[in-house]
This record gives sequence, structure tokens and C-alpha cells, in this order.
Amino acid sequence: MIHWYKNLNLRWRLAMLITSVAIYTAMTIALAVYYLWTEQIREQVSDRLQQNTELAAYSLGKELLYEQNNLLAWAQLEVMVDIITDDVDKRIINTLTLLKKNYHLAGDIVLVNNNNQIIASTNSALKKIAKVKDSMVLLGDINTAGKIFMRVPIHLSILPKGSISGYLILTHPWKNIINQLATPLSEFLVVYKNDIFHFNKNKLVQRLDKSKIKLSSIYWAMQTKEKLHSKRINLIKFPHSTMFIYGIINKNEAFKPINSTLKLIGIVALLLLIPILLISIWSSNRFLKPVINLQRVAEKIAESGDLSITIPIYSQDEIGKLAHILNKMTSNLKESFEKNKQSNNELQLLTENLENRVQARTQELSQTLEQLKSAQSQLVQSEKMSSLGQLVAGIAHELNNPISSVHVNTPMLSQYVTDFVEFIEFVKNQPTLTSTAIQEKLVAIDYGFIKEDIFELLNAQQDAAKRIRDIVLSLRTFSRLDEAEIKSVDINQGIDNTINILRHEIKHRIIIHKDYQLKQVVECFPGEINQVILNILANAVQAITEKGNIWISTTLVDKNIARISIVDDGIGLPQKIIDKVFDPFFTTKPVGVGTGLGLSISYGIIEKHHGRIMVENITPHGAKFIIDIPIEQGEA
Amino acid sequence: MQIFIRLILCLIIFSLPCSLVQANTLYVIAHKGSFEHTQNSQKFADYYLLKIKSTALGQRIIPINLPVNHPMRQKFSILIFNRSPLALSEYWDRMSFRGVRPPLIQQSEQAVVLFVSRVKGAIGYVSHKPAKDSDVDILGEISL
Repeated sequence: MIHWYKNLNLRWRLAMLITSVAIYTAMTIALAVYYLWTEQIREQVSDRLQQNTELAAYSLGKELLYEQNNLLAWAQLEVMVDIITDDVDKRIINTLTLLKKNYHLAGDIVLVNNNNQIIASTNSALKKIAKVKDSMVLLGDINTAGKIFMRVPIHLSILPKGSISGYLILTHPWKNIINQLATPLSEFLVVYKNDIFHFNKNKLVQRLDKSKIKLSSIYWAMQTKEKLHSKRINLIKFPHSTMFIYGIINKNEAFKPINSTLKLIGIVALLLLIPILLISIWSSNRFLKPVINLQRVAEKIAESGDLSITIPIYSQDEIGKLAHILNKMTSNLKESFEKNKQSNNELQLLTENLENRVQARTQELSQTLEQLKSAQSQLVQSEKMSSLGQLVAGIAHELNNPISSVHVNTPMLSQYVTDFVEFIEFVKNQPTLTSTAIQEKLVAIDYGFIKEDIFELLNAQQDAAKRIRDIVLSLRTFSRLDEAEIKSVDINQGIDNTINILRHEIKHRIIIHKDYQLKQVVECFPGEINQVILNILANAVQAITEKGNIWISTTLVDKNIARISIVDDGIGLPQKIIDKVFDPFFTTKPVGVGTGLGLSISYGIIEKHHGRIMVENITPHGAKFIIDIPIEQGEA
Repeated sequence: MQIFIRLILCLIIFSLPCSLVQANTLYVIAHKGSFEHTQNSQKFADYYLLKIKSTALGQRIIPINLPVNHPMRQKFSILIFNRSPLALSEYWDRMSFRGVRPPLIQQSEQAVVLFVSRVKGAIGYVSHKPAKDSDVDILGEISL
């Protein structure tokens, strides 16, 4: 929604704003009026219902009172004395008929004597009448044939005071009462004793049991929310009970004017919407015309880039001032552009100079880098040569022993072979030799000694050859010259080969303690890893001045890290230099003995394998190197 | 009671032609036991003009007249008061101011008989002799 609104131009936004404000204002006023009017209507409806109910009750009460008063007056008529003669002259009945006619009575007038016998009646069909005790009572059904009986006693002046000669009765049909109530009230409830009668117009809709209904509830009678009712009004006061009435009105009917007004407001609002919209568009166009002109000129300047175009000023209002400011801005901008252009040219020249200088400096740096690489290569080579020199010395010594053995034993073996050849030739040239002569010859060549010594010599030769072969094999395995790519190898075997290479330095002086728990093969460049182990082991051997121990262990940590731990009990590393041992060219050895690159190169090799190498001092003396390498290079 | 009333009415109706024919005697009747028997016309006049308001037994006297235009009323008025009913109206006008009302009027002789028989202290006149079993006394017979 907001995005859609933002995409609208200012004209439409202003039109929408004006329209919204106008609609909002109109709706607020309409709603306020509607609310006030509705409240008034509700109040009026309620009041009118109450008034109608009171009017209905009042009219009925008035009529009943009127009838009662009339009845009292009629009882005083002189003709009533004929009750004594049972109206034998029909004067009473004639009078009653005349009264009924003149007073337009809906019910009947009946005169009964003390025995409740009908003496005279306006209804000739009436043969019997119910005996009632009260001055007013409701007899019969409240809906149809029911009647209100009003009774007054007949006191004849000729008779002793207080004596009653009979009763004059006036009946008022309930149907007539209902019709009378239905005049001001379209719907009403009559509550009498334990019954509630619901009338719509003059028809009984339903009869309810009052004891089962909560009178306090506003909807007690209808059981619905669609009706309104008045307050309770006394309708007829009987001697022993009172009849009440509630006026009722349908909400729809009562609030019909409200709904009509709502519809009218809606229609008026719709009718007003179009002119409001048109006025809004016209107003926004009128207000925004100078702004749009400004916009067009600004667009022209922006498209053409011609800052000499000026915006015409039509007025001195805010828009006029804005146009003036924009003209000033374009003028300033033009000056700035010209200055900028000049500066750019200067800057371009400077840039070209700078580029040339940078190029020259880069070339110098490249040459320096090449020189550095060359120096680094030479240093590495030097370190290799240093290591190689030490190795070669040791290996030469190692090889010297078996070779010396071979060299020393070979003349002896040659002498033994010569003695055996002479003996064979002697035996061959003298076929008749006796055993004594042979024995003497064997003694002469010392056959007994030769027989024992020759095998010892041969064994020694064999041992020496085997030792040479082992050394050569170790060298070959160590160098791994044929394995210049990553392979899965047994690190433990590499450590053993390295120890073999250093055997000359180790034997008789250092005890090697091995603890190989690593069972997995490790992906690595085997030659490089062997070089790292050799560097550390060589340092450890050099750190042990006389006799000592080296502990070598391998293990798997964190499921995929191969850990090689090399601990010596040599002189150890001073705390102040322990952080520098992996720095290039750092060495504690005398000049010419070490290059200071061994551990630095080792550090690089381990980093290349995505591992790490750590060193720490061992109390009381010694050093501990830990190498961690991922067993799979892909997972590192 | 009704049957009794009807019987009396029947007797009166059947005897009416006879009485009209005979109409020579006027019978002054009163509630049984309320009045002393008398032939004194002045006494009747005093009763009817309410100059005597109660009987010797202390009962209130209630005179009953026939309508003004009834022939028997005319005759009774002449005989007893020596004046016509119209002439007596002046008397009753004056009495009205004293709170004394004129005698009650019954439309027929039958009604007079019934009234007198039922109300103590009632006195009336008829042209025929009431039945013996009726609750009225004949106070006097006046020859016309």
C-alpha cells in the first residue's frame, strides 16, 4: 500500500490528501450527527413507548372509573326502587336499555337482587350470572369471552340505612379493552396474577407463565433481543390484585428512522464523493501548477545539462522564491562545474604521474620480492643442507659400522676361502693321502677355528648388510621422494623411520619411549610430515646434553585430529624465547650450526596441513611439542 | 317466590276486566301488620302527605302512588285530598325544600300490591281487592 502510494505523483497525492481530509471531516460530522440523532431517536422511541403505554393504561383506567361512577349514579336512580317489585312494570329494564344505548356501552348492565337473581338485564339472553363478591373482578378468559364485572350495591332510601336490595352490575368485555389498548400500542404485554399475555394488535400471541420468567430481564417476555418494552404500568387495580401492562415495540420498527437516515447519509456521502474528488483534483492542479513548471524546467536542465537555462519567476510567493533559489543554485553549480573541470584536468595529470611512479615502484617491489623469494629459497636450501649435513654425518657413521665390519671381515673370509682352496687342491693332487696326512693338513690350516669363525663372519656380514639395507630403506621411506602428493599414511611408521635415521645420535644416550595409540591413517604429504618430526626430534636430541629420555606418543583427539606429542627431558626452552621458537631465523644454536628456519618451516608445513603445532616447557626441565593434524584434509 | 309472583300477576291480570267493570270501590292496602285498620280518609291523607311519618309500631310509612294520569290516582286524590294530583304538586314542591319527597310511584296496581306486600310500612291503593293470601292488609274500602 505504502509502496503504491509512494509511486503516485505529488498531484495525485495532494488530491488524495484533500479528498481524505474532506471525507474524514464529512464522515466525522455525519457520524457525530448520526450518533446524536440516534441517541435522540432512541430516547424518543423509549419515551413514546412509555407515553403510549401510560396513555393506554390511563385511558382504560379513566373509562373504567367513568363506568364505575356512572354505575354508582345509576344505582341511585329512583327507578331502582322497582327492584322490590321485581321490575314487574319493566321500568328498570327500559332504563337500563336506554342507558346502554345512550352511553354506547359494549357490555351489559344487569340488576340482580340479593339472591343473585336477574331482575333486569340489557341482555335478554342472559339467564344466569356469576356471583361475585368484589366490586370489580375479571371473569372468564382474558382473551375472548372474558369480562370485567363492576358491581355496586342498591341502597333504597325507603329501606333502612345499610340494607342492600340488590346489585347493579356492569360488564366490560375484555375484547373491548384489548381493542382499546391496541389503539396506542401495536404490541403489549398484560401481566395478571401468574400469567403474562402477549398481544400483537388485538390478537393474543402467546401466554406465558410469569413464575418461569425473570421480570428483571429486559427481554424476559420475548426471549429475544429484537424487542423493546416500556416500564411496568398499573392497568387495572382489582381489590385483591393489580393488572399491569408493558408496551412493546419491535426494534426494527422503532429504529426504522435511524436505518433510513443511515441509508440517506450513505447516499449523500456517495453523491458528495464525486464533487469532492473533482474539487480535490482541480485544487491540487491549481496549487501544484507552479511546482510542475519548476519540475519541467529542472528536468530540462537535468536532461540537457545546460545550466544556463533559467526558471521563469511568476510570483513572489514560496514557489517564486524556490525558483529564484534554484536559478541561483544552477548558477553556482555552473561555476562549480567549471572549477571542477579545471580541477579534474589537474587531477588527471597528477594521476598520470602517480600511476607512472606507482608502476615504477611496483616494478622495484617485484624485483625485491623476487630477490626475497630467492633469498628465502636459498635460506630454505641452506636449512635443508644444514639438516642434510647433520643427517649425512649421522647416516655416514651409521653406515660406517656395518661397512667397516664388512671391510674388516672380508680379508679374513678371503684367507679362509684361500685355506679351503689350498686344502682342496692338496687333497686333489695326492690321491693316496692318508687320513693322518689330511688331519695334519687340517691342523695346519686351523680348520677347527675356521669352521667356527667362518660362520660367525658370514653372520656378521649378513647383519652388516641387513643394517645397511635398513638404513637405506629408512632414508628412502623418510624422504618419500616418490610421494609428492597427499596420501594416507601410518604416522607411527614415519616416526619409527625418523628415529632410525637419528639412531646414531640416540643410541647409548637416549631412551625412546613410544606410546602409539593412533590406529588411523592420516592424509598428508608424508615427506613433509617426516621432516617436521625429524626437526623436532633432532632439536630434542640436541637439547639432551648427556643422557635422557624422549617420549613419543600418538593419539586421536576430537574424532578426526591426529595428535603427535614429543616430550624430552632436555635443557628446555627459556620462557622468554618460547614464543619466538617458530619465528624465522630464530635459533639458540651457535652460528653455523643452525639456520633458525627448522621450526619455522615445520610451522608452515603443519599450517599447510590445516593443523597446528604448539610448544611448552616441562617442569623441571624439558620441552613438549604437540602436533595436531586432521586425519582427513577435506574436513579441516 | 317467582312462582308466587307470577300467580299473583295472573290473578290480577284475569281480574282486571272485572275490576274495571266494577271499579266502584277503592281499596287502601298496607303491608301486613304494619297499620291499624281504619276507614278514616283523613288518616289516609295524613299518611300520603307524610304528615304522619311512622306507624304506631314505629315503622316508617312509605306511601305508594299510581302514575299521575292513572284513573285510580285521580279518583283517590279527589276522594282523599279533595284535590287533583296536579293541585297537590304545589304541596310537594314546597315539601321538597324541606327534604320530604313525594310518595313513590308504581306503574301498575299489580306493582303496588307487590311493593306493599314486600316493604314494611308501605301503603297503597288499588281498585281491586287483593287476594287473601297476599301479605297485605286492607285498611279501608272507599266507595267511589
